[in-house]
Amino acid sequence: MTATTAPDRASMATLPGDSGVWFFIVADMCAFAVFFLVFSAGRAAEPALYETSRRMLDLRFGLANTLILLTSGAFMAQAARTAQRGDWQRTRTLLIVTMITGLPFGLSKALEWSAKMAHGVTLTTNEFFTYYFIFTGVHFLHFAIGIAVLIVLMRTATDTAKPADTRLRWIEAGGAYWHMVDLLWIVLFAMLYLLRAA
Amino acid sequence: MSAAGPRHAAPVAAIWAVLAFASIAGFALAEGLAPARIAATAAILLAAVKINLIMVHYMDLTWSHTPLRPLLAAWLAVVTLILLGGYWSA
Repeated sequence: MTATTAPDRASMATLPGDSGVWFFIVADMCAFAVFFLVFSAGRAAEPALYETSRRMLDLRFGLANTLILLTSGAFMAQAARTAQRGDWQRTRTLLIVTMITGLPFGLSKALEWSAKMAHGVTLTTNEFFTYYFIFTGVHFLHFAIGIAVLIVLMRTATDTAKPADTRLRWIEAGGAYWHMVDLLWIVLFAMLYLLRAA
Repeated sequence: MSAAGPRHAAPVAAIWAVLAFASIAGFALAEGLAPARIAATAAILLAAVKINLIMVHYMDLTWSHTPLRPLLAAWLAVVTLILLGGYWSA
């Protein structure tokens, strides 16, 4: 049986989700900011190497991955809005769609990495590709954790043993994490694929 | 978030369309639709706009969420400057 009672928003803290999850998100984003700084410093020091390496990437993979995550993120946002209305069955359906539309990102990354490796491009090829594999690899790990989070949220959405407020908090917190995966990819897409040298 | 009243002004689909368009625009510019420096600068700025849209419309953050929203806005500003600085100093 699915509860349809809307959570009592007035009794909840004003921040969507959970403050502990937000703390993790900020810390994680700061760690990625260090990645971006290291990469940008490397690029400034060796622009020719970075441009030659960037040209070896297939921008279509980068765009496809971006559109996949944006689409999945849109369904996640809709799931959170639906949960706020207390429609838990539809929330669960939207979470399933979020996962289904997000999963091709993993397939696309696997295809992209394997194509690179088939051409002999690996972690040790040069500095650009060291960063490329490490940063996209760490991001992929976040993606994989996000998929696991979505599976938990699917169960949570219709778990009537949990109060509505608790379910909403979990879904908003999990959603914030999933959106973080999305926005970190947006930076990686621009930084690794789109910065064409003059 | 305010406890009462709708928090969402824009439909999710409309935000998604803007995000997708901005992504395709950045891709097209990088593929040669604009001179390199203009394309790269636009790609960085488009990324910043997209991230801000996600923070506001998908993550549901408003400026009343202190210190989180100012912190994330600062993060976005710093990352944008890092990318612009790294590109233009090369």
